[in-house]
Amino acid sequence: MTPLEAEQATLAGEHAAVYLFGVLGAQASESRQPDLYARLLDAFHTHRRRRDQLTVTIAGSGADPVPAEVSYDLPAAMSTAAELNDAALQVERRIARTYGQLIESTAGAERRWALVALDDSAVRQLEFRGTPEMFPGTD
Amino acid sequence: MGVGAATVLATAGCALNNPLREDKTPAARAVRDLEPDVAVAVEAAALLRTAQAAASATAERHPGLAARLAGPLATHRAHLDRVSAAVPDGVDLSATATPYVVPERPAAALAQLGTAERSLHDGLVGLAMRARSGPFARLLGAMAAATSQQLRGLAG
Repeated sequence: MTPLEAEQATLAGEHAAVYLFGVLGAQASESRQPDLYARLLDAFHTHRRRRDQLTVTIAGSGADPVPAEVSYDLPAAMSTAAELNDAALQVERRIARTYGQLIESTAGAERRWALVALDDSAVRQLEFRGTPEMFPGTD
Repeated sequence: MGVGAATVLATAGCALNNPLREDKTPAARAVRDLEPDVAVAVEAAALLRTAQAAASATAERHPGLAARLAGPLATHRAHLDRVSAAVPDGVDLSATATPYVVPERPAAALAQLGTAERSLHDGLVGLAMRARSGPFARLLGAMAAATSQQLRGLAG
């Protein structure tokens, strides 16, 4: 995978993450589930920022950034706090693998960006009740 | 694993890239003229052994912390196994870890261990930046991320 292909794949993942965290946040109650709501909102902002950074990076290299899909498949269950945590955890685990691929396919500043993103995602997984892994971001 | 592939790619210029410029340890001697990513792997193993020794000494000195340190210790073992498997036969990874002094009070011991784990994390990130093999860089990045997860557990 070329660096640009890896960046485009990561951007596609960020589009999905932004969409899904938006939906998950909308399902959480700010008054009844303030902690979960805050974590989902923070994840939404983080992935939106990363999406924008990648869009600028890719456009700066002269390529067309991959656009977002119109919609994405939603988790089957999003009613309870446990279900929202599970869904958020799955989103983070998926995007962590794309960060891993980006580390693998790049060098220099792009690799450093991916290392920071993977680190952040691994810790965020714990906030969504994930358990520590030996090798986060690998298949 | 990517180190094997990387060794094929990079045999020239390795002495310039070799961070172990002095032959103080068997591992340093072994990698003196080897490929850059082997040198990176040897450095990673040394970092991991240092962190492992710190966690082991802390658990031994403060048995009450043993359960809390089980995660970091298991993670260090898994990471060392993976790095060991990545280097070619004949490379000595048994560099001696620096002696680690455990503070008397458990809270201080935990705080100092957190600093050691943070140092491991930063070292692994630095090595991931230096690695020429993409897959090996990914492995090192994953190990750094796993260390961050364990750090969160130590802090909690």
